[in-house]
Amino acid sequence: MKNHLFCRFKLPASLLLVSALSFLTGCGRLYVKDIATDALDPSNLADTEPSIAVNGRDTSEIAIVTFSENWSATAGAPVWKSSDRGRTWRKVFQVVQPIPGSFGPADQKVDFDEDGRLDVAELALSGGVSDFVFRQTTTPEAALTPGAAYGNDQPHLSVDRHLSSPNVGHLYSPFLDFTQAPERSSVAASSDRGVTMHSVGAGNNSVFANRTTRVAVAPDGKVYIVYKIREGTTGAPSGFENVHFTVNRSNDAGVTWAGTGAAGVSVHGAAQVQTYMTNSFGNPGKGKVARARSSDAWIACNPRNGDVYVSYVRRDASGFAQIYVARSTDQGVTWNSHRVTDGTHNAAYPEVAITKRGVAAVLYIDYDDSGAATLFRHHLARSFDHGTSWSDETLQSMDPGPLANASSGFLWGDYEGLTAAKDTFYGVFTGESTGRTVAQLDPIFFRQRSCRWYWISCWLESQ
Amino acid sequence: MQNVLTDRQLWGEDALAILANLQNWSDAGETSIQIFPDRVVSSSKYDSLPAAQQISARLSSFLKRPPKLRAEYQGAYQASFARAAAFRISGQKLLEDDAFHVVLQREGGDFLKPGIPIRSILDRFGQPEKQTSEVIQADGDRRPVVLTVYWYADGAVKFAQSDLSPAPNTVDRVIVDVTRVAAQLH
Repeated sequence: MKNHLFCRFKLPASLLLVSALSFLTGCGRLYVKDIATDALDPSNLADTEPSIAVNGRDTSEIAIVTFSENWSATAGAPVWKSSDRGRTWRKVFQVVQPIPGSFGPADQKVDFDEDGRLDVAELALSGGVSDFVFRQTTTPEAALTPGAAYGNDQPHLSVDRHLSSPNVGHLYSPFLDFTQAPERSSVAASSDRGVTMHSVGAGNNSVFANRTTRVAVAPDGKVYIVYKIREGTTGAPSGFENVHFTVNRSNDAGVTWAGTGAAGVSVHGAAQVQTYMTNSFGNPGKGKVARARSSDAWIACNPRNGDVYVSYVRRDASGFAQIYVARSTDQGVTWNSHRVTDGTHNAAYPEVAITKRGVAAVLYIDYDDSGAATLFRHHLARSFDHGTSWSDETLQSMDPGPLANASSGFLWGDYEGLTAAKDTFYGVFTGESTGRTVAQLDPIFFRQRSCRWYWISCWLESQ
Repeated sequence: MQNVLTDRQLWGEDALAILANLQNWSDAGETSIQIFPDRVVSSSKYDSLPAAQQISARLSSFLKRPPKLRAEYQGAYQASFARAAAFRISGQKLLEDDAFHVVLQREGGDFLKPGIPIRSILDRFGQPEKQTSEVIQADGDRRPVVLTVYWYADGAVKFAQSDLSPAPNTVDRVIVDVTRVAAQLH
């Protein structure tokens, strides 16, 4: 694991001096930190399925949610918070029990709105499944307020915080609706921060079930979802299924979802691709394995020009499950895909994010089972040419076998966290701890400013 | 095992009645049950509600039989015998795995004592022979239940804590091997 001081230029200097300092001080290098400590995590919880958000009003403010402490009748579940760009962290127990007697959090996603207020989508179990958007209504550290119940399985969340958008302040929470047969990707939208939610079916489930629904908002207020249409296992190896990763667009703040046609558009063309549908990502004969069922797609928009990026899993001619990124420059109508990974290992769990200057990054996981134990490796791949070519860095290589709180079948969850603010990527993954009395799974934070070396204004800009 | 099976700090009166009638679960075809504070659930999963109901009906009829216990358990369990008459047994779909199970309940049920710290289990019964984890997946992709399971009596009795419990480090359920514990009791 790497730890580097992050540099930050507040005052302009001569270009030569800045360039030299940038090079010498490692500006743009990766900063990685285990945010848990023995004091913050006395029960040695697994902290799985993390997500991350950065306050656009003040990027020193970062929030993370993981499966840490649960809520109860008397105490809230925590949001991990940093006010110094990730150097130090605290837990704020502010996600209160939304229904008396309910269990949770049991799926969650975090975001900030345009005014820097926190919103969190949560799934609660109480005889059935209900989702809630919790919103900050008073001070940042106070208990969050749950809104109306909505939704079903695996709620996500994106807030429209683009001042250029006609729908700024609206929020969108996609989920998979198991009350429909076959299950359907759906989206709940709200214009009042979750006080009221309006859910509509968005995926094409006319023949096959949907899964893995993710959402992104473009600066013009158009909203995109990606989801997969599950089309059976004929010809697919064990643990894989045939799918179409499909994008649709809403032009009306989530009221309808037919911007790319009623059936949506496949980002990889007409042919099916094969992706994971397994509880055994890894090598069961060589250690613990992970669930990879809704762990194969993500979507993000360029915050300036609205280009849409989708990361997805495709088992290709290499014989391995690989990470691909597709880009659309025409509002999701046509797509071009490029492979991120190198065709040598199985990979999944891709999250994609885009900086304001159009740099793309993908956080993903692959595994190496060539030795006695399976090593799972978290990667951050970046592209400075709109997703055409990628450079890759390993964030951490981990054998979960010795980690007592790493449960085979659910090692880090279905997804992890990656976002961008200004020119910096911020992420979190569930990885092996550092500096803990008991070695365990912890939430590992990272960030990396991402500028071309000759983008002087990018290096000069306060992050 | 006798210490575990007769521990009044662990079991409510209804749990004692369950243990006294454990042979009936075995006769109904169940090999393992899970005792919660408010209910008892078959570990067996069924594909349909009718399949679970069929086992429920069989178990209901068996519960009318008087329990036959070894002498060393008669004293501890005798007072609980009458409670079995108030048990309601049904097939139910459980949220944690989206599967159908046989579920036994009683109005105001007093099965496993709630909120027992795992620490007190270790203090009373010693270190477990084994500690494992079990992930219970549902059909969807919501957070699964992750059980940390403490094995005693070669797995005949297992204490499990749940990562979804609002009270961490407490006993969520006790998993009883019906065949082996029934052989001990009857």
